[in-house]
Amino acid sequence: MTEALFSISFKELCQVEGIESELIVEIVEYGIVTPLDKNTDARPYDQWLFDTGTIHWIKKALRLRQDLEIDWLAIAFVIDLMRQKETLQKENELYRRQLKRFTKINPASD
Amino acid sequence: MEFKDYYKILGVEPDVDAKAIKTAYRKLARKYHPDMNLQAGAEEKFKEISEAYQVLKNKKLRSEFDELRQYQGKAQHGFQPPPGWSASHHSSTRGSEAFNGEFSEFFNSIFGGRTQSFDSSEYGQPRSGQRGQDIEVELPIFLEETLNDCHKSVEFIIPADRYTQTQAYKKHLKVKVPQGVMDGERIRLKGQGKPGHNGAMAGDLYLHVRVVPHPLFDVHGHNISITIPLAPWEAALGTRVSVPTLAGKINLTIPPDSQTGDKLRVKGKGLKTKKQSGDMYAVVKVTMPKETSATGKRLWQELAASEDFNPRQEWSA
Repeated sequence: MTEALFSISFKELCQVEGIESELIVEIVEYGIVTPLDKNTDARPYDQWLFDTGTIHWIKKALRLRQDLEIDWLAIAFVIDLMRQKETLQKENELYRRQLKRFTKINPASD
Repeated sequence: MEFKDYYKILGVEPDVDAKAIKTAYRKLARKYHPDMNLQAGAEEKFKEISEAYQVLKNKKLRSEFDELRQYQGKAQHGFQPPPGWSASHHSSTRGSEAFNGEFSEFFNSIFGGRTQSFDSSEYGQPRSGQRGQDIEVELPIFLEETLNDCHKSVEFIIPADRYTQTQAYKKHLKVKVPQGVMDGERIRLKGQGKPGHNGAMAGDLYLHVRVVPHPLFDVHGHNISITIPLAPWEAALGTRVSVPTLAGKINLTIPPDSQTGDKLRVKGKGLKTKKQSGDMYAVVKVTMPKETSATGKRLWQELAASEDFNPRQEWSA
């Protein structure tokens, strides 16, 4: 049985894509990802812990930088909009399902 | 081997300057980048565009490509590099989840391992001891399963590896999914991704949790909601109904004069984590019978005559 983890350490994050630690600090400074302990100034960065979703966004950010040759500020904007879009899509799905329950006699049947 | 005309792929003439190549690439990248375009085929198309740009943006590689292009014009069947061409046997990997590290056979045989980017860690031959690739798969899970720790079987594919010449293969894992897992979370299984090279660490496996939509319940954070259909007289007079929860049925008292949309909170019947328990909200929906009997009609008529209720009062102002 493999242990399920919900976090990743700063050191592990550096190993994943062979990213320099300074680059991760920069990505955090741009707000592209945030450590779990939000009070980042209080801790040295090598003790930061991230949730596992962080990897997904860091990979996306690196890919955008590599493929589209855009700067970190623009990437921070793009990632922020992508996240907002994801949240809105989820909310939209939820509201559609709820609306169906109110407008159909037997919504569970379709 | 098929010859790839990188100019055609970028939609530019062979004599354009570097700036035009960049502009063409940017336009196409904007259109086909897999983070922007989720349609089938977009990723493949982007790979092709990216490959063309890697070569044409580099002066030296571009002039080599131009030479080959001339030579290709004279070839009769298929494409073979000219005799004595210094083809590298290196091929490319790229640590990106979207591309799984494959440029075309044409690219690898002509330019493999020689572009500027390919010298970096993202491209080129694997560095000695390069960590294996991470893999992400979706993990569908039923709402009921999130109430307790549950055991799931996961099947996924470890992609083929050029360097070790291993074919893609299926891998099975048993995973203990902890109580309270939420839709959209990613579970990390350390070292269960693609094996590393030269004894390096394997990549990780990420399970992207997808809670399957429930036929009865909707999820709002740790709370859930259920719609309770009521007959008009039940809503008017109040009643007691048996309501399903995620763990068995409960009896719920509906107060008189309930309206569609009214919410009744049932404490502690929502989703559970180790730290907290959410609540369940029962949402009232007044439902008319499809047909009304003769007696029913008479009683409605009596009600209509005796009641002074205008549901469209807001319109009369």
